[in-house]
Amino acid sequence: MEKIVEIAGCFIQLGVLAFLAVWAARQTKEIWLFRLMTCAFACFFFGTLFWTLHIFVTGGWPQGFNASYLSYLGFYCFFLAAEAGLKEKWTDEQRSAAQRHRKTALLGPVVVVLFHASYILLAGRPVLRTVFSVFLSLLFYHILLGFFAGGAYRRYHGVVLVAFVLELLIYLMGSLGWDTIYYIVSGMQLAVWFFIIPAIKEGMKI
Amino acid sequence: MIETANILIALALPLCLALFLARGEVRRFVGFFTAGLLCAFLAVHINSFLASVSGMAATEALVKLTPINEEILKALPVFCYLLTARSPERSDVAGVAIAVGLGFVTYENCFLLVQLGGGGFLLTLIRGLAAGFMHVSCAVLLGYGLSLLLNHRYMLLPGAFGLLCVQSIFHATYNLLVTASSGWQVAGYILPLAMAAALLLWRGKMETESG
Repeated sequence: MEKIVEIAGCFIQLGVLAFLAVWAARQTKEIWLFRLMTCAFACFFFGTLFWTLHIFVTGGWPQGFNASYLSYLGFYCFFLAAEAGLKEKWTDEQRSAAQRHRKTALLGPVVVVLFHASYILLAGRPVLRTVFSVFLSLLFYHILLGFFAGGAYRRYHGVVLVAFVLELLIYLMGSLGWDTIYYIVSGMQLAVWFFIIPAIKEGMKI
Repeated sequence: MIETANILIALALPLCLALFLARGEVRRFVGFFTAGLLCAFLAVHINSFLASVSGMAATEALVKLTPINEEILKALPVFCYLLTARSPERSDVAGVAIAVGLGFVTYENCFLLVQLGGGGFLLTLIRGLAAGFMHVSCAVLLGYGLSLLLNHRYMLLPGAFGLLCVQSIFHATYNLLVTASSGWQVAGYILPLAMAAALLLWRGKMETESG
């Protein structure tokens, strides 16, 4: 069961990656967001591939720190880079809309910190999660700001927000060892990622 | 230690001399190729140090620590170039990354040849090809990736870190497969070739765009 779920995840991510790569190759202008997303999903895919191959080659999950952790960090970094790029294109109106909601956007990091506290209390694995949480806090703040900027930005950031909230839940379920719910939420997240392509298209319209 | 230093001296000394004679792009290539050799020399020692400090078995360290350490070391000269060069061109960054990658894999192959004492022509050929493609693919990935981010100042730092992560995971996957049993080993040797093919396609697309 575990192997089937991992392989399915691997293929679905490969599908999203291939679709993004082909889409990026077909665009004639303003393709940096597609390229960044391609890199992000390549990172995520390689992480899952490493994880899946590790199960097949050694017969078990990788223990302790391993390269698949980097896939998450890389994934967050590419999304942060995308946020930086999108911000460069904000109009004055969008900028002022985001400025108005700066304090509300702090809700993002607060939620991440609360989740992080629950990892420490429930799972007792704080060190590496702290690194993830720092990146995720930054990302959530920017995603919320982008969401408040309105228009096509809202549609793009809405999808990304849902996917990253599911990401937080996946961590929690993984830390608690609730495998069934972990796989259900992972499946939901993979389904949400499919909507990222039309969402990016929306994001690029501005 | 002496053996690894000897390999470095034998390979790097003529190149250091060439640095004084060459000019322009050739000089840059030779310089970063030598930097790649030096990085590989450092990587050999840092890898063994990290493995002993962490208490991991050699195979475990090869999958968990070596890829991250090697990719960081390989990226350092490229980052130095980005920090010091005045308005670097896209092709320059990619060229620098490739030169470092080539230098790195040259030293690594020589080191393994000396260490293994000649593991047979076929093994040398396969290992040379696979490791060569792997290191150069990673370097190309970093070089072209950074070159794409050059004009976007705010994206450069997170993007560079992200690219470093992709490289490390790819390297770790390769190491995981080549240290496994024979069936997986073949898959491991094929993996860099597939990556190189994908990068060639990407480069072709980029050249069509710029052309």
